[in-house]
Amino acid sequence: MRFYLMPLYRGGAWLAGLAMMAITLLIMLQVLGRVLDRILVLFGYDALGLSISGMSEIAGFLLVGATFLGTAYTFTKGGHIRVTLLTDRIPVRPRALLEVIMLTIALALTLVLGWQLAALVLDSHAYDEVSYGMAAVPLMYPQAVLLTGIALLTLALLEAWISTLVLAISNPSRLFPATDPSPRHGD
Amino acid sequence: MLTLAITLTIALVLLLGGGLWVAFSLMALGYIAIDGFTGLPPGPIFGSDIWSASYGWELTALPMFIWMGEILFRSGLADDLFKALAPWLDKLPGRLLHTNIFGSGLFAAVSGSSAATCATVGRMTLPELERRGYDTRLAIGTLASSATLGLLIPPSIILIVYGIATEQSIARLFMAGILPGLMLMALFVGYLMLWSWRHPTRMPEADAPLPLRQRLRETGRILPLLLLITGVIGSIYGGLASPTEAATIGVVLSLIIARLNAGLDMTAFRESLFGAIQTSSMIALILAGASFLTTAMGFTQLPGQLAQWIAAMNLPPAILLVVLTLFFVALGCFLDGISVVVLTTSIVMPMVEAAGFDLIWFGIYLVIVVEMSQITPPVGFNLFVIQGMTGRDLLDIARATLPFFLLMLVGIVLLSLFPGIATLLPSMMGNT
Amino acid sequence: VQWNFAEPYGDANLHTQNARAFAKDVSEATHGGLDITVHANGALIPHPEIKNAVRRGIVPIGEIFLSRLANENPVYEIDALPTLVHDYPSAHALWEASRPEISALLAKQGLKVLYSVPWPSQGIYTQMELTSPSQLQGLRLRSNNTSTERLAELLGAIPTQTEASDIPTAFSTGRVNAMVTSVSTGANTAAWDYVSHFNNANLWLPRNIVFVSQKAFDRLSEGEQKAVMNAAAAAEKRGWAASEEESRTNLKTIEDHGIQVNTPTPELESALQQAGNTLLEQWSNRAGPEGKHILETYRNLTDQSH
Ligand code: NA
Ligand code: NA
Repeated sequence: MRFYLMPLYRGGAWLAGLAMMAITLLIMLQVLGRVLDRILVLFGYDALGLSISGMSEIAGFLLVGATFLGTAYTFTKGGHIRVTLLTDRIPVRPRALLEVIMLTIALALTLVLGWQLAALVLDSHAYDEVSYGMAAVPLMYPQAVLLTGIALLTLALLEAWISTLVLAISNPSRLFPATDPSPRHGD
Repeated sequence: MLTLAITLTIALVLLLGGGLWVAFSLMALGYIAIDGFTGLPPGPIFGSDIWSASYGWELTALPMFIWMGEILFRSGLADDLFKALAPWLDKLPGRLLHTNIFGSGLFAAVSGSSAATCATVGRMTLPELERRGYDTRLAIGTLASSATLGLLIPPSIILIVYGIATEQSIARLFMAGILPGLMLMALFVGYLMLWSWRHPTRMPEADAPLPLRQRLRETGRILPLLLLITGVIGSIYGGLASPTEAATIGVVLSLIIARLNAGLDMTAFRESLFGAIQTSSMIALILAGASFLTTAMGFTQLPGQLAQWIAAMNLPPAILLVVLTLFFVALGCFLDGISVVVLTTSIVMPMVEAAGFDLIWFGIYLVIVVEMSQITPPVGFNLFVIQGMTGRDLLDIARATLPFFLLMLVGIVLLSLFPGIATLLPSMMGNT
Repeated sequence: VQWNFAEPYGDANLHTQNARAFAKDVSEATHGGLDITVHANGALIPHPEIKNAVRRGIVPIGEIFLSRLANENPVYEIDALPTLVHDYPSAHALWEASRPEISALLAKQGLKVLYSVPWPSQGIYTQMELTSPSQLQGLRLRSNNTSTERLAELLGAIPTQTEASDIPTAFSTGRVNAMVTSVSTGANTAAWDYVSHFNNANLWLPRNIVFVSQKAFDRLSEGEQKAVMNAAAAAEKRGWAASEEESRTNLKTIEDHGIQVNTPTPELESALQQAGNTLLEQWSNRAGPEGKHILETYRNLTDQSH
């Protein structure tokens, strides 16, 4: 299946990768601070107690980006899992219809979710919601990242829905090529 | 209540069987449960719950461990490990398949989650085992089941959740998990040996025997991997890192080793990162769906009422344990383990106490039952991880894992007959 | 009417038990007209989301640790200021003094305060006997919010962020050497497995707060509203008594399990007091006129009683 907005999804995945590297960096700095203290104390100096205030909180929010910004990309690569054992045995025409139904349900769910998340972001903005703990992160930012991830996923589902619908009507056999590539070999 | 249970079961079968993605199936189920059975508007609960399930410090360990697995997969260390171990394991029935069990047991001492254990160990062992001609289903079964040790061998997220919910000592629970973890490993090893002895034709040819000197030289290849594991475990027990932070140390050390050992370049680095993001976002979306379903169950109060129904029967302890096991296994098919614990402790714990069970012992029993939910379809996170890795179908993987599921039941029977397996080590801590 | 009560703590916790008793009172007074189900363990809504969930009408009623809201407004932090109160009567006076401001702030978010109950007395858990303030130098003190972080810095300790679930491991591996928490948390998490000493410094008496969505409350009949308010008043009274009782029983529990209990030496006491004064001054600058007003009312209330 071709995704016309692929650069967008790949961009999301890159941002997810950056978030992942940022988490790694933050935690490593924290650990190196402790290692340094150990060494100082070993040589009779006072511990510096270097630590990143609110580190775990920030890392916990970066996680939203690391996982949800990559979710549309994962979908395009067939990385979101499903049970195909039963549908594999259905003739092509009804199977195409089933595929359209399932994509419709998925699309409806992400649309509702995106709508609700948008409401959440606006609400957090209206009430100036901030996180508990030392970093006091305004919640609208990580929530907006989650919304972005879900919006990208909605777009990818929409693309899949349209092209599946077109093929289901015009040429259903092209929908299911004989060898279903496993997600791993796709990347 | 019955209508709700039946409706949800039918809906799940239709949606999952019809090929709806697992994460969306769980979300749809939660939506149906709230909309149809509570009189509350599902929309706002949906949004707020997915948000609350999407962030959190303790969750960060999972993508880190997955990334570590992706790096190790590209490090050449798996090949080294197998080359080094092969000559020594030649006489042992089951041979290199034991690496799944021991690898998971060892890794469980680093990781508090079984999905992370499964992803990291499996990324190294599964492709290698397949390449060497081992029975794929047996490889999958040993991996999926041994990875559940991540929850039993400390550190363990679920023991922490249980300890906090029931106000039991986490330190004692950690101690209590060690022997049962070893017991399960022994059961898995025993089964593997028995199977290989019964089916010699389904095992690959052994490598030609090596002279001792060369054997020792090959063994040296394990050194980088040993350094890695020592580094990660050492960082926790040496007080340099929390179990969550240790995952990141694993990533950094793996990067260094992969660079030195296999000349990991930018392309391989990028591939490892994107591979990790794919698996992590797949798991994260399912976790979010599972969380929404759990919340929906909380609103409908279905699990609580089922538990109340059991409590009302006033069963004798032994029967109660059997009924509870069935109850937890059934819930574990639909919910993840931590949710099962959180949703049911309020009602289950009083009856367990009244029946006179030791609460530390019960925690270990509960973890094993909950571990089993990691490998039962349709909602079993180890199965999801393996499907993500191999592309095989969920039900196929579940079937490969079934014998090990039964072995874990045997483990529960043993634990019930000999409670000391769990209570011996904590009782040696004193100060009770 | 059926209400879901979002409770973050476990079943054995005094706040959870008090919430269950409150629900029972309401149900009895309304002859089942208002049925409140308490969902413990954060099973329905996790702790960080409870306030917003009530504000957004997802659940009608919930409980939180009040000073979690400190980042929203310093007024919420007043019960987390060390050495400001020293016993239950003064803690109660502080709640009385701050109740109007806190209620008004929460009312702006559509939340109606029902009752607030303190945690049992808070002291310092360590792995050695704490006698002199110099022992605090370089000690890794668990601090998960700004007020403990500032306290740690003022005392010369190293503030160290540690999740509740990580505490036993953090102590046993030396990432943390000390924590300030209640005797009940110590007793309920078997603190004797990883610390040896408890200094009963009674640094503060932080409170939980229970609130209801004003909208949900307004939808109740007049009789039901009255039943809720009466049950809330009773819950507050019962909760304060239970908390004081647990301060005694749990202190005995940890002592029985081998934790050595001390009270602060004069030097330590004065060092803590000094840090407390600094923090109070900083706080009152941040909290502005509302803060000053609360402090004045508090001083008047405590002076009267002396
Ligand atoms: Na573990
Ligand atoms: Na399951």
